[in-house]
Amino acid sequence: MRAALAGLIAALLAAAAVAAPVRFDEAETRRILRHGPWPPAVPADPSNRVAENPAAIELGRRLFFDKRLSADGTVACATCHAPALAWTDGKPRAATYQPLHRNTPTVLNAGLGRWFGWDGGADSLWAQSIRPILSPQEMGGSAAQTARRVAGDPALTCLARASFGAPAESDEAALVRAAKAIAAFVATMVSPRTPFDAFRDALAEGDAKAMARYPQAAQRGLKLFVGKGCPDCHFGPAFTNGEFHDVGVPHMPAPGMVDFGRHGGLKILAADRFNRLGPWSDDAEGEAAALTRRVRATHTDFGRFKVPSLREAARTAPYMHDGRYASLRDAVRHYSELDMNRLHVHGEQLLRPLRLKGSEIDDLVAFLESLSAPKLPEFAPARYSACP
Amino acid sequence: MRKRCCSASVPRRAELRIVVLALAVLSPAAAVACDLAGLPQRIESATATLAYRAEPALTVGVPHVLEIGACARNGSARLVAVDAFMPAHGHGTNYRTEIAATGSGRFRAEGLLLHMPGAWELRFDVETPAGRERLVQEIEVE
Ligand code: HEC
Ligand code: HEC
Repeated sequence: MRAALAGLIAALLAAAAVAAPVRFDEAETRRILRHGPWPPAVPADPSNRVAENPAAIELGRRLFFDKRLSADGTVACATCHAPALAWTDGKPRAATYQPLHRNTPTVLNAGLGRWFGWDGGADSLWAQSIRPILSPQEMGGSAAQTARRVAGDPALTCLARASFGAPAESDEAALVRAAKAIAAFVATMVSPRTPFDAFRDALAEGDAKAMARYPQAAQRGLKLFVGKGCPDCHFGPAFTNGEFHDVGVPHMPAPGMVDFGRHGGLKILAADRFNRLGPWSDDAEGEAAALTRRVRATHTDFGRFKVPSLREAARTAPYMHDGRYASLRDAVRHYSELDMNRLHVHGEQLLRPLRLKGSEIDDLVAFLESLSAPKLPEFAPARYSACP
Repeated sequence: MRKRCCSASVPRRAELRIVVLALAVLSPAAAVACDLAGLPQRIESATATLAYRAEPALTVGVPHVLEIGACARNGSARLVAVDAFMPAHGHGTNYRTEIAATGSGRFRAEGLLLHMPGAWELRFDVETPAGRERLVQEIEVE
């Protein structure tokens, strides 16, 4: 009798727990509000004088899909950053001419970042765009080939003239111009508003009715997300602080091979003649260049990787810099079962295995899924009318 | 920014360097005129006072410019470094802060970037006739 009563009470309590609205205290509310409003303005890039030029955006869009920038005419940016796969390739690790040891991130929201690539080896979207064109592993192109491609096509030449004026003086100048146009296009790709954004704005306005439209599981997941310290790194409207951390993902992509992460990225950045301090920047003295000048190596850079945005993450599997997790559930489970042995050396001192219950993992996944819009736009701007 | 400690004027962890005590004997007795007007945040130690104003108000993820005034009890104070550290995380910032003297004991520090929410120590290293000293303020940014 007693046992039956206790069972009944437990069942009632469980039912109440499921139905009870999720409450957010003042501190949680403040933290949640920091993840908006969305969409934000894309910050200006003074190192790229055509960053907001409509002709350059159209030129960049065409070049992004142009396979003739590659060694044998089979690879474009869009081969790895495919629109149908939320601008990724859907593979654990990128592979065109030769396999890479990193996962292809989406280019959605890339224009909001401070550093580019998992190691932040590039300090501008245009420098990041030059790398794959020249890399024999990725596109195997060259400055000369890029120059010829633009000069040999009347529509591209027209757009280039509308963007930059006089023709490029050298192949390298033509390459940089192509990259700056591509960067201008990529910067337009801000992901749309999501169910989370509607909830966040309703919370800001205290609109309980609108808040109630956000699924309960996502609300519980959001509460876990802010309560378990995820926004320490997945901070702000884009759910990334734009910096580099070690969350205990192994960085030995193959036996005997080490991915140095941020440690290596800083070296690449310093050696890159296309960086914001170099001769190709349109503003080598301004605040944008100041970040590159001031960035410094720290003893914990080894094995740190860029904090990825979590927006549209449900569309960008697989996850982590080496694409080791096939699903968001696996990525969340990573934090539940952290390998402390690896973390003690290089990792964030505050990270602990969260030992989440199955239902908590479900809720976190439901929350992460709510960071995706029902549908992505095509980002195909109206044809620039002054050119064919 | 929200300050954590009870009183802003008492640094809880000023690291005084006693090694240089001998030098202090040589410094002039009269306090040098020192203007900290308009600088709302204040940190004091036995030998120095430092005040600053951050533009924009200290927050996560944006580079700040700090206007700083530094005074020594006896003699002048020179600001030599500004940095920040997260004790609970065991790491500091990823950027160097650039310092320039702007005259009359005032300094301008550019580029302080606090990349995570949470508790930070702001560390100001000053040189006074009494030696090099670190003035620390604990802050919390969200
Ligand atoms: C072979 C596949 C491949 C091709 C082709 C390719 N990318 Fe990528 N892209 C990647 C990978 C892998 C990374 C991560 C690189 C790293 O960590 O160093 C990346 C990173 C990026 C990033 C940085 C994203 C971020 O948030 O850090 C941008 C922007 C980008 N690519 C744009 C381009 C453009 C523009 C082109 C064409 C000029 C291009 N990519 C061609 C695979 C590719
Ligand atoms: C200390 C900083 C930090 C904290 C705290 C943190 N993350 Fe991450 N997160 C990262 C970094 C860095 C990566 C990429 C790691 C890598 O690839 O090596 C990442 C990757 C991810 C990914 C994969 C995204 C992708 O596109 O590959 C997900 C999902 C994720 N984190 C969710 C969470 C959740 C949920 C929490 C809280 C339980 C959390 N993170 C806490 C820094 C952090």
